[in-house]
Amino acid sequence: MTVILVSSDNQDFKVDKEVAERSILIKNMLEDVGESDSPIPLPNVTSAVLTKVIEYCEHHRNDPVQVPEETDDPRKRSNDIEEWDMKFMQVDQEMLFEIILAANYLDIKPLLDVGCKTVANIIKGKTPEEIRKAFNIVNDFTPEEEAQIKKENEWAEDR
Amino acid sequence: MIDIPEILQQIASYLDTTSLLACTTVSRQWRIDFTPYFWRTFNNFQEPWYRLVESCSSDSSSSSCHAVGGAGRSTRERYKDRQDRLSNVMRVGQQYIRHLLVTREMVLIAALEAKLTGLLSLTLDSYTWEPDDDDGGSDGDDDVSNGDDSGNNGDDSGNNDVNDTRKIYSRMKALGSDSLWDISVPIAAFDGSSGGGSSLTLTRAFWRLVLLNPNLGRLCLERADIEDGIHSFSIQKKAGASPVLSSAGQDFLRGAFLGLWRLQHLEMGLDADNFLLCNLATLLPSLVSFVHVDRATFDPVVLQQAPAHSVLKDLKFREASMMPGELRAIVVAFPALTRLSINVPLCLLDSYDANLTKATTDRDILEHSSLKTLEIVGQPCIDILRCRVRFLRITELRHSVFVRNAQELQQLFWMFPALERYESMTSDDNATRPLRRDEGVRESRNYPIENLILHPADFLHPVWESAAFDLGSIIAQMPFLTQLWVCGVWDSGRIMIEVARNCKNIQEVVIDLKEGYTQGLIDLFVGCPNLRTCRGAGHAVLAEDLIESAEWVCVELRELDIGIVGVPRLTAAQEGLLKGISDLDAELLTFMNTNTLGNSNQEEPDTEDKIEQVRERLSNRGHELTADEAEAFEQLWISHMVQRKVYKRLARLTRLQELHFTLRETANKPRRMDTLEFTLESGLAELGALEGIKKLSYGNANRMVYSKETQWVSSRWSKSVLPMFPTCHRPPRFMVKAR
Repeated sequence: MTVILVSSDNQDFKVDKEVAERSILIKNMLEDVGESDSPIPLPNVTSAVLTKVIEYCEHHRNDPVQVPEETDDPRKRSNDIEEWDMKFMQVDQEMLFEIILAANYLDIKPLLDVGCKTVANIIKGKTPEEIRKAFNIVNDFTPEEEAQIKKENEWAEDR
Repeated sequence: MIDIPEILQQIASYLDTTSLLACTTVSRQWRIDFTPYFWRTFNNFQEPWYRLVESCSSDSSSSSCHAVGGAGRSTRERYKDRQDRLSNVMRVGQQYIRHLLVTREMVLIAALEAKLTGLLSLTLDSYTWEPDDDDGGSDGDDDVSNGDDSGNNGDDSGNNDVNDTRKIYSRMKALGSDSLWDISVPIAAFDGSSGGGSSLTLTRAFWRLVLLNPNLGRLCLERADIEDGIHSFSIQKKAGASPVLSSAGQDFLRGAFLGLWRLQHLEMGLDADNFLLCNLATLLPSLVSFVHVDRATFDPVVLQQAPAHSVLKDLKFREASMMPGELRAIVVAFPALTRLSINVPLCLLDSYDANLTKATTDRDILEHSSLKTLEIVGQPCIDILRCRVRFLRITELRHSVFVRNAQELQQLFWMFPALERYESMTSDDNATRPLRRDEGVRESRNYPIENLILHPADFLHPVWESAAFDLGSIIAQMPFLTQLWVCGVWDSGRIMIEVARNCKNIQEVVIDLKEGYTQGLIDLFVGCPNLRTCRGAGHAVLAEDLIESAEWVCVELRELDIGIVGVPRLTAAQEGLLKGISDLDAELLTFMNTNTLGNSNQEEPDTEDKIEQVRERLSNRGHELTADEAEAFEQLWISHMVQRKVYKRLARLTRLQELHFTLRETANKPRRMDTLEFTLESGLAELGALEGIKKLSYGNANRMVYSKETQWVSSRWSKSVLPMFPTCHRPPRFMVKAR
């Protein structure tokens, strides 16, 4: 069985129900509506992003449902991204954030996880200046503020 | 970047504190976004907290060991500076710190001085605390106005190293004082008999921190030992009865937990865990997970009569023997439980007799319909099968339940009716090795494991040695069995026959067969259409039985261990005769080839006709065939015909990916000489029909395989398929998977 998803720019995407149901949002919608051929509008997702999301869901259509790991350590590992996913995430930053937002909206937890891990991996090990460069962020601290922050963080800096 | 809090939190959760610190200095917005996550978890095993706390602590210990005169003063001042700095740092992050690990006294001091009140989880590991025992009786009063707080000014007249440590505790004592806080932590609640007064101060200060944080969802207190800084609760001992928590301790815990209504996970010992276990439903009705840290000595009758806790899902005992009565009590008290973990240390088996008597008075059958996982580690739970409880949802048991004979195995399936998989302990586990008399069997006790010392050999599982007599009949009752792994049992041939006869859905059989040839293997091929794996040692089949067998239905077979025996082979003398003749006619053996490849329906030539052709061929070369030579040729012809038929039969299993010819040479038995010779002349190439082969082994069945056979294998399948020595395929001691 297939379902039709409609992107914010009014493009139709015909996908297998099984693939579409990787999105918990869509799964719940389909359960609520029951058997129906009517298209599902996704006003928060553009066709470019939806194409990528569907590609991910197609690839992971047979994955088992994720069970959240219980751990005492609130910090999690980000170096366990599968090879395919890593390649899939090699997109420009705008698309990366769009995918994360779409995964959050569509409630596709594994995609959200892999997106957040990718962003975390970009940040890891970088100096503030390198992070600014990586994300094209302007340093809007005044010199006084910067001096103050430096003083506050002195205890934590490597010596 | 992204301004949705949940997404930011998730990104931050993958970052280390150093990266998070960098994020807080990127821009104003990032500072707002990431500051809470930088502070969220205070764990002094991670940077930058490690540097702040651990270097300071090492100062402390050095001061108590080496400080002399002026040097001691300097160390003391340094310690004070660091404590001040830690407290100040914690004050800065006070509103953001949510997870705190307390492994050092100074972390506790800083947390109290910073008045952390937003904690969601608090873990205490007091193993490295260094309480000052010399503080003695002065702890009894809460008066802090006596100038004892001199640790803050650093100009005290103390001139020995004990004072250095005491300064920390005087600072702690101030924080532990009731007069400073609205919350009372009564001294009477704690055991005053162990450790020094300063340790009691630390204990009360810790509980103060707990009570300051009403939003705690997790509270973990590591196990208390005498050397630890944390005090246990006070207990009352009555002659002939188990010690119970004092009323002061009970009152304190009731009051404390009343304020901690969000607590979901609790790990606690401190001599209060038995009381807690029996009162969880009233004390912490929202608790989801409880770890009973010390040795479990609760009264099953009390627990069974307590109100049921309808929320608790996860229960773990660090030390328990879990006799039937105790398990029944847990079943009644925690009906929503989904996971139960029990560690049974060897020493607890000593208390077996006493527990058994109070365990088995209830005769009614209980059912638990939510427990999904039962983990028993350490020693096996003795007599758990007599608890008369049915766990309706448990599908898998691993290393959990001790089964001594076939009757108990039947009890096991009664107790766990949904069981899909059962795995007994492996030989690596101490629990499965037969206990030797010098290993814990005491003459004066009725030690139940003693009954299991049935077999002296370490590599055989004594439990299954005794159980195996009925194993075949039990398997006969399992028509839905799909997977069976057995080794180390006698009578395995009968098990195989019962599987073939009764378990038509069987997919995987891993079994070591001990009785030599077995018809059971053929029966499997003929009767079990879903068979995918058939592995194990000793899978010997008579060539004749194999050739003559009815049609095989196991078309899905992927992995097969098989040894072919009973193949007619030449004597050494006959081989010598033929070798002499082949010197005259190098092509003769090729001429004798029974190759029917590509034309499997081709009728094999009559033996006598073939011998006549040989006689004529040799005669043309000036050699007259003798009667012995003719007989040798006839034997060769028959041998190759039989072998070719075997290969052709096996070649019908077109899905095979692994094929191992497994007659092993053992220390006691020489290699059999009546098996396949694995030569192209004898029909090996018939196996070429098996297109999917990934592993093929016949190496140690015939060590004299020629290089042309090896070449043929390489050319027929991928380069990775090489005729090799079969790897030893050891299943666990016993595992049954039923469905």
